[in-house]
Amino acid sequence: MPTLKINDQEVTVDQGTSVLDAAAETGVEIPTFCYHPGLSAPANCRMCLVEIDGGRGAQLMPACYTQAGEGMVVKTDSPTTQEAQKSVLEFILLNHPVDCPICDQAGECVLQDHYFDYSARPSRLRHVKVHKPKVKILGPNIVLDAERCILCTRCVRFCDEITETHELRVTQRGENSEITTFPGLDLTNKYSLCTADICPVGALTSRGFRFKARVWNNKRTKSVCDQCSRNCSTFVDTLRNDVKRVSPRTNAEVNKWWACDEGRMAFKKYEEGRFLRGQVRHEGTTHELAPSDSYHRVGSQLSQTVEAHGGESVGLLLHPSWSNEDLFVASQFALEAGLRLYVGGRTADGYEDNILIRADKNANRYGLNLILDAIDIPNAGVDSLAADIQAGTIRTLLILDGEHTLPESVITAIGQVEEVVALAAWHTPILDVAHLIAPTRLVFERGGSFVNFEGHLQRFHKTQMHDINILSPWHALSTIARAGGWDVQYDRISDVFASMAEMVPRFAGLDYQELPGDGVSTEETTSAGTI
Amino acid sequence: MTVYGKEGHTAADHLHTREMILNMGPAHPAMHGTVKMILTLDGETIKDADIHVGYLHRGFEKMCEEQTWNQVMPYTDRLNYSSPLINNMGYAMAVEKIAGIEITPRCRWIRTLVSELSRITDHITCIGAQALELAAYSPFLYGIEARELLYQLIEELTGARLTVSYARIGGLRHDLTDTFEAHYRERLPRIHQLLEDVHRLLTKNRIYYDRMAGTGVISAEDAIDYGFSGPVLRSTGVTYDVRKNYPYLAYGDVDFEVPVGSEGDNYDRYLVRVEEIKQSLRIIDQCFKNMPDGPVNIEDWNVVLPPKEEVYNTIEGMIAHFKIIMHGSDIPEGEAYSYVEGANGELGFYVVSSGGRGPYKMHVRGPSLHLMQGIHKMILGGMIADLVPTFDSINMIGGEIDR
Repeated sequence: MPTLKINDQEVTVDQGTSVLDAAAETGVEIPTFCYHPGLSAPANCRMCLVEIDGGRGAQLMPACYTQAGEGMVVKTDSPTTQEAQKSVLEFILLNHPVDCPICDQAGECVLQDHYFDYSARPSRLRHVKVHKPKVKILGPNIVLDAERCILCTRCVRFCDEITETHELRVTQRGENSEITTFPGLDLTNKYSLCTADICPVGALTSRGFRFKARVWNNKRTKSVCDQCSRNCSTFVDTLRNDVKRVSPRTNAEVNKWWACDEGRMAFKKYEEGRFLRGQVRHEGTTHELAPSDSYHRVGSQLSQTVEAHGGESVGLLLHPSWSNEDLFVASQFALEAGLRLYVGGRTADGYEDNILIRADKNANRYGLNLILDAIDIPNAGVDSLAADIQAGTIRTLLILDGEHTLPESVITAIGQVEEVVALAAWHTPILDVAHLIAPTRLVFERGGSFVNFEGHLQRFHKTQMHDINILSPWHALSTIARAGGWDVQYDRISDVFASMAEMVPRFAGLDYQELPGDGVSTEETTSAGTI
Repeated sequence: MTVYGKEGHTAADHLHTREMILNMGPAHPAMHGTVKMILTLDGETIKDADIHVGYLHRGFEKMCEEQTWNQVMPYTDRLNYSSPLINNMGYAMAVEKIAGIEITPRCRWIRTLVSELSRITDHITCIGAQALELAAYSPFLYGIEARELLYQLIEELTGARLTVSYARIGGLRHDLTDTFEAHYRERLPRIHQLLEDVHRLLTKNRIYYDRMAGTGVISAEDAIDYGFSGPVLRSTGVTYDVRKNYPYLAYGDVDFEVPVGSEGDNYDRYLVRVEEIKQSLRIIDQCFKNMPDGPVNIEDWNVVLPPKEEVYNTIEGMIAHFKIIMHGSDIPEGEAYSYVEGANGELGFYVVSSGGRGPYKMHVRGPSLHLMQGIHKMILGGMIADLVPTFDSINMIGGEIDR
């Protein structure tokens, strides 16, 4: 437990703590480029050089790499340190192109920030800058501008240490040094966009986001990725109500600093086929309905079938990527009306790794199971759905969300149902057989909560808005139930969560509005709640 | 048959009088657009006056909290829009006081020079408009011609006649133009001639004198109590001028006098302004003579935008430019009250910085507001016709009152 002095302030830290972390503990910020908390510290950018006296006189040492030692005296704002910072910045900027106006990173660039905060000194360069490749495609998602690169090697270390795919290397020496892929190898790993995130400058940029928006115009909202059961914390950047970028939000409990490419590019698939109106399909023709009318139409359709043939004749195909609130209202509705519940969902190739990606492509299967167990309502898989349809018991099927991956046999079976009704946000092929479709909101247009495969509960927020008359799934289902004459009365999402917290033991004691930004483990809540 | 003139049958017995409430403004032409006076009149005598300001409220102070340090500058143009350059300088000085910035010597002199130019345009406008509202149209035209000559000069310097935005934190947008002094000297004889014309038309004009002398009187004690400053305070005989009492910019290094009146009436205020114009011309002459060469901006790229050749050709200049435009100049935490002699009196800026991209809080002490809180003293008991020149003589500017 060494005790050291940082700018005349004493601090005691654990053995092995870097001077950088020790300084952060006292509230002193030391600028860095190459250091990243998730990666090893190579100390190659020299930005964190500070004056350290470890007993042999003061000398400049990299704070990210130097371990805190007993009796060390660290000065982060001495003239020597300041001059070192200015010199390092001058050195880094020597061959940096004048690109800010056309650079995607401008506005969130660490180099800009550090130069302004620690140097602001004019250029002394009287030579021509060294030129390097400007648009070098490294892989499907990443493009490199070698001139902007400051050779911090964060991206190289990411591919070495996190994905262990080793695509990137520094080649050449001195001012000719350049990041590149090995010959014949592309940057194709499933986390390649993280290299653009951790790039402190605009050298590595996302091909999907390139020139789409200037970052300071974007509105940033906390969200959660719903593309697999990891539930990575994300930021969603929107510009004029359009999602432009999804990037990882640091969450030590869930995804650390990372997110996979597939999850963050998923928003692109919602760009086409969005339902903004209800649809009635009859003998090859399609009529459009106002959203509110379509909810009433669905409600009366369900109530007609239930009146004629009983609740058992109506099936609800749930989607385990829906939020707890959506699924809770759906199951309450099924309970109230005596409907049959089936669980569908997305499936994929089964790929799974020990970084983030999970084979289960549904965001909230854990939450769905918690709810179904607590409410104690019978439910079945899609195979029984096919069997029940063949047996002729299902006369009306309400498909919740179109994004189900169903076997061919089930799809054929659904085609035989008398009335296929759907509540969905965008068009998918399985909705081709639907006779009546009511619109609902995309995941970016609504708020709610997910529970990931480890039982970690997180809240996601609304990032964009298309039409206020299109309701979130829980709200739409509540409206449909009311229109059908059943008693499912929810108008506020926090009320839904409150009822859920009463009925589902794992959610006991939680409040929707008070959920922490990084989420909370439902495992812990159980022990605290049941004692 | 009724016999008039006998007891019980006088005209007064039949025509009983009562006080009349007159709503003057806010759309009355003599109320300069934005002030409402609810006057209680006995005949034409003002018995009571209820002054309402606030019809031009623009939320200036609140707006500033959302802007970067330099983005506030155009807002200050619109405070006292008759002398925007002085407002620019006042605001820049307040922020520089927080940051402890010492501006360059040349900048000090240029700021002094343009402030005096603005003071002249302001005073000419006031005198001309006042004469105009007393139905003397010619002095107004002569005055406006003189103002126009100066406006053209200001336009040459800043690119705008009114929305000048010439100051920057730590300096100015740019140096004086090469031809600035030559053009000033070219215009000077005509300006002198026009001022002389106005003087000959007004100063010893019997009608003008009768309307102005002895009307709108306020005592020195009252003026001080109500927080008056500027020409209105000086017309009562109080020698208070920020430029003299608390010299700022280059005012400590120039030779000028502070004219004062004795009666505190409209005529004294006219004379004070006329004399101040002459003193301002004196100061401008000294500025041209004493102004040193050198840079107009400090060399701190955390505060002042780098020169354009640096911005376009070096990454260092580009980043500094980008950061100042997008995130604002780097002004430390702190607060300051800084005040200058505006054309109407003490113009103060109280600025609080939380170390952020712009002001955390901003308050302006506009001299006109303080004049408005005491104007009833000047009009009560007077004739309603005298209200017009009195209101004009304090030179109320809406933009400065209703921040």
